This record gives sequence, C-alpha cells and structure tokens, in this order.
Amino acid sequence: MRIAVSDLDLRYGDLIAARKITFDVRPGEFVSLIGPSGCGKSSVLRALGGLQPPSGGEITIDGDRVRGPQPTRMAYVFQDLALFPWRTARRNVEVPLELRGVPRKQRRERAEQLLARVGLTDAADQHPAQLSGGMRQRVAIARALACDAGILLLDEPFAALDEQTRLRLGGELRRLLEEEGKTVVFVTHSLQEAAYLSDRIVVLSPRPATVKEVITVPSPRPEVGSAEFHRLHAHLTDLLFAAEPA
Amino acid sequence: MKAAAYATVTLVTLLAWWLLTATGVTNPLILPPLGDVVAALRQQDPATWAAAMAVTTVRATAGFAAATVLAVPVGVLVGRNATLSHAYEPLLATLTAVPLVVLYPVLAATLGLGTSSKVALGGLYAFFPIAIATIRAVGQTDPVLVTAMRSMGATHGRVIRAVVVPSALPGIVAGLRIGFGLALVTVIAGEFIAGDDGVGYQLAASSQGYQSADLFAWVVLAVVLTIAVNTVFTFLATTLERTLRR
Repeated sequence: MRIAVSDLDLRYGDLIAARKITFDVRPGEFVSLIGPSGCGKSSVLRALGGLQPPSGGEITIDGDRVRGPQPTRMAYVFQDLALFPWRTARRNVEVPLELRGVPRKQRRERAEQLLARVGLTDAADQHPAQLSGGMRQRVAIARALACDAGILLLDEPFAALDEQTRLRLGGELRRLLEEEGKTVVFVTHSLQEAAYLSDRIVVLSPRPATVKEVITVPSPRPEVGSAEFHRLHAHLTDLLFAAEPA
Repeated sequence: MKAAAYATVTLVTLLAWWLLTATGVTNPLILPPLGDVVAALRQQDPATWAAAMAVTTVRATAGFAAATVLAVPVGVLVGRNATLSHAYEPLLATLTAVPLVVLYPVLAATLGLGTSSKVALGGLYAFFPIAIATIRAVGQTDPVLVTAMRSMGATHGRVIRAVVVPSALPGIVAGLRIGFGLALVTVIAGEFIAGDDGVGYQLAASSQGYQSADLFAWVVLAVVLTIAVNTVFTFLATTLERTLRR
C-alpha cells in the first residue's frame, strides 16, 4: 500500500504543528519520521492514522483520501502502548478481532498465534501490569498485527525502553514486519534507531515541522558500527543539530 | 486475622454491654440487659422476623435496582461530556446533602403507605451516590485508550462498552455499594415513619411500646440483615470485576 502526503498543514488553534509536509511511503517500505522532540512528528503520524484532520493539504492511501481511522488498512501502535489494563495479554490482542466480529474460538487461536509470533506464548494470561516494558511492547505489536492491516504506524514505540533493549527489539520488529510484508511509518527521536531500521528517513525541522530532507538508506542496510552506519549517523546529526535553534 | 479482629470487637462490645447492664449503671429502659434481649429474640416467632427482613430486603433491592438502571446511564452520559459534568456534578453533589427523607410524607401521599412509596424513597437515596460515582469514574477514562479503541475501528457505543465502562467499573461499584446501603437505611426509615410491615415498622412498634428488649432484638436483627446483604453485595461485585479482568 502506498501512502502519499502532500502539502500537509496541521494547526491546533493558533499553534502550527506542521507546515507543507510532503513525502510518500512505498509498498513494503520502512520509513522513519525523525526530528527534535516536540517538533510535531507525532501529530503528522496521527494525521496519517486519520486521528487528526489535516488543516490543509491531503493524505491518500492507494489514492483514497484519509478521512478517519481505517482499521482494515492501518494499525497504530501508541507511544504509551494503550494496552487495556483490565484485559490479559491475549484478550488485548483479541480486541481488533472482536471489533471485526471474529467468533470467540478463532479469536483465541489467532491471538495465541500472534503472541507466539512475538515470543510471548507463556505470558498470554498475564495482565499488562505483570509484564516488563519490553513484553508490553510485544503485546502492543501483536495487537497491531491482529488488525491485519497492510500499514503499521508506530509512534516512538520503544521510548520507554533502555538503549540495548531498544535496538534488540527494533531489530526483531524490523525482521517480523518484513516477513509479514508490512508497510511501516515509524516515529522516533533516536538517530541510531532511525539509521538502524529504516529504508528511508524523513528528517523534520523543529516546530512547525517541515521536511528538511528525505534520506535514502543504502541497500543492504549498513550494520551498526560499520563505517557506512557512522556516515549516515553523522549526516543525521548534522541535519538535526543544524535544525536546533541556538 | 480479619476474622479474629471482628470476633474480638464483637466479644468486647457484648462484654461491655453485659457489664453495664448487670451492674445497674444504665437505665434498663434505655439499654436493656443483654439476657433480656436474648430472651426477646428467642420469644420471637422466626416466621415473623424472617417475613419482616424479607419485606425490607425486597423493597431496598427494588429501589436500588431502579436507581442503578437510571443512574449508571445518566452518569456515563454526563461523565463523557465535559460541559454536562461541569454543570451537573456540583448540583448532584448538593442534592445528595439534602435530607430527602423529609419528602417521605409527599411520597406516601402520592404512592400510598405500602411498598411503592418505600421503594421510591430508597431509590431516590440510592440514585445520587451512584450517579456521582459514575460521573467521576467515567471522567477519569484514559483518553489514550479511547483513541486506541477508535483507531481499531470501534463505534462510539463500542468505545463506551469496551473502554469507558470497564475502566470506570471499580468507581461505579464503590458508588453502588454506598447506594445500596442508603437504600436499605431509608427503606427502614420509611417503614419506621408509616406502614405496617418490615424491619422499620417492627422497630417503631417496639419502641413506641417502651419494649426495650424487643426493640434491641430488632436492632440486632437489622444489623444481621445489613451484614448479610453487604456480604452478598461484596461477593457479586468481586465476581463482576473478576469476570471483566479476564
């Protein structure tokens, strides 16, 4: 599925969150939105997900204009995960299936399959409060996969994790989503994460967010620690620091 | 541990009662000897007190049920709407403090001295705490959970059922508990003021005849009734919450 964002403006009252944002995401691509915190990148993602109406410009998916949530096409993973605390891991994953009217037995089977897919077979009957940050993260991913949508929108999903877990989970996530053939838009403020995971990186300026540059990551993606990776990291650093006001 | 504490408190109270009355410190008309009360209890026909307790319990339960059916939806509606809850919450909180029991003669004049007016009084008293607790609990719904549910394609009604009500349930149950207690107390008060059956009527009849031992026997029965009803309520509330937390 192809996403096209053209001349997107986002305003909240007098506050301008984003101005003339234009970029596209090709089918099967992993695109990161990166920018200083508070720059409006999450607002852009909310607009992509149909949770925030554009003040100007438009967003289309395969040519259809986005006017609201499209659960059959896009699944959202929120920054604070938004797991339902009163539901077990399995019943959290079942939510999108319930909303589609899948019968109980199939729901259960599919949820268990997806939890196994993210390595959480044993945690199916635990409540979110009983799980570690990394495990909660996996539940949220499994729930997003249960939507069976072609596009995944991820809003700083690893923000609450330490750097090591972040990179390990990021790598696993990237492999998983590649296998599932998902198109991914990933919001982060971590240069390393963006450089390590993406096919292309959309670099945003401080608020109001504008597109500073769209970087294509060389294929195959450079390994962490390689000279190529350092060059990319340095380039991103230059762009972002140049973007910070003195 | 808990049971031991209850047992100790009960024993100490009974011992104090026995000492006060046996030593003749207190007027037997005001506090009859423990032995007389036990004798009065044993003289009572079990059918009489069972019937009185049944009548009172049915009235309180009916009033409580009617109040719940009205107050929970009203609370959800008002609690989900910021304007409405700002307008109505203080009003409802004020009304709670009004001694509505003074309205009983009016209720009795319109609905008669029988069951209807007592049910109405109990329901009136149960309504406010349930509505207020629901408004407050619903107002605290995590907006991220609502957005997440919406992003997965839930309708407005589904969001209420699957997010708002479950997350507010502990608060609503706390309100139900207070409401039930008030319904029971005010039904007894209604029976005390006018009527010819129920625990309240029996209390009034023995107190008007200066039959202190009988009066205290009925007080003991009223306490037993309250404990029994409260135990059943706790059991139902726990079951409800457990069913939800699967």
